[in-house]
Amino acid sequence: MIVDIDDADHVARYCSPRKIKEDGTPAPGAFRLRDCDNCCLSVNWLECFRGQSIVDNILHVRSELCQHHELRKNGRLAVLNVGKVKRAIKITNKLDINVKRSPRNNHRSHACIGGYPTNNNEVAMTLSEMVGVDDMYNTTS
Amino acid sequence: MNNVLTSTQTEPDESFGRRADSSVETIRFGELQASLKQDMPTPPFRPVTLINPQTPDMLGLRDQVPARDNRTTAHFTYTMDTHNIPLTGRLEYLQSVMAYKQQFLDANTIAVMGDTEVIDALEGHGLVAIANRLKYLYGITEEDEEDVKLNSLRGFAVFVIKNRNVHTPQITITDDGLIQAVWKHPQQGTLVMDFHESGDIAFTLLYGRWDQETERYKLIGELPQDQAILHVKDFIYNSIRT
Repeated sequence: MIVDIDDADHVARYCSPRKIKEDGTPAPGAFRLRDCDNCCLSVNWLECFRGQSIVDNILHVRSELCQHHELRKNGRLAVLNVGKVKRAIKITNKLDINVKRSPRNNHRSHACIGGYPTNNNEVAMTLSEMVGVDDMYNTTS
Repeated sequence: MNNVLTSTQTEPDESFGRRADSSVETIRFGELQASLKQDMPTPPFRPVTLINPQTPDMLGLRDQVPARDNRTTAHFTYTMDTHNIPLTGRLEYLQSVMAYKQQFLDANTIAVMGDTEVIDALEGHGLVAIANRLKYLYGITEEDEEDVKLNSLRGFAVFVIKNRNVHTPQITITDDGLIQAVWKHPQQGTLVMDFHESGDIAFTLLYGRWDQETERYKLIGELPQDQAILHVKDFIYNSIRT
């Protein structure tokens, strides 16, 4: 079932090392939609795991992601607040994006950010600028 | 001799270790300085033979040494002042500069280089931080990401050599293997450039400090390098790395 994620919740985007800048924050390329992405950006819904904190939930996301994707130790998980993302893109890019649950087999936290154009840096820049170094989490313990 | 340096007229490689003698032609320092300011690469510095150990002070050149606001000339100043290089050494150094400039400022030369050669050329040009960053990025392979596109790397190399006085960007690779350069200024905004295989640059400039509540002015385009730089020149030459 595809449902909107609450504005108070958070999503994490895996950023490969090639898309992390030297200052430790993600490049716009980490959030750019590709044509092959079915017009949505794959993320993970943190509150799906009902942990006590973001760190707790990140541990669950990591273990779930590991089953589907090779996580590089120098890659990072960028955490975004859903409500802030929607509001920032509405103001900066004049777009109403959506953040929806999209669970898959053995990947129940899978979610999608959609509603913005593919191969376009504009929205990707807004998303990347919302993420500070403190919002980047290790992919390994 | 106050503002004149001398140079032998031999080929650069033959001139190393050769002493300045009567078969010389003069190069006015002002001309040299002007030359240094034009897209000058940082040359490889070669050891010199201490034949004529005179300092810039002794030659009356200290006042002629260019200001330190230019990376290339600052390097030149540093070399002259700190290493106390003798006259002969300076002549060889200058010839090395000229040879290096001729070798690498030509985009056509880069256009036939392989990726390792391009990165080595950047390193040889003094763009060591950029070269090291590219080596790091080349060492990463991701299953769902394309390899770095050679023509994108070539285009980026030409850009940073031509515009070597701009602040070093933060460099990443996109999913489709393009070099992506980011310049960020805490107040003025952020510029992103994707170096396409065609040689064009797709650029997006968001003016102003990011916050969630403020709309920002945008400049977006995809143009050949020489035209793209005209649109973002003011930003790129004043931005600082964060």
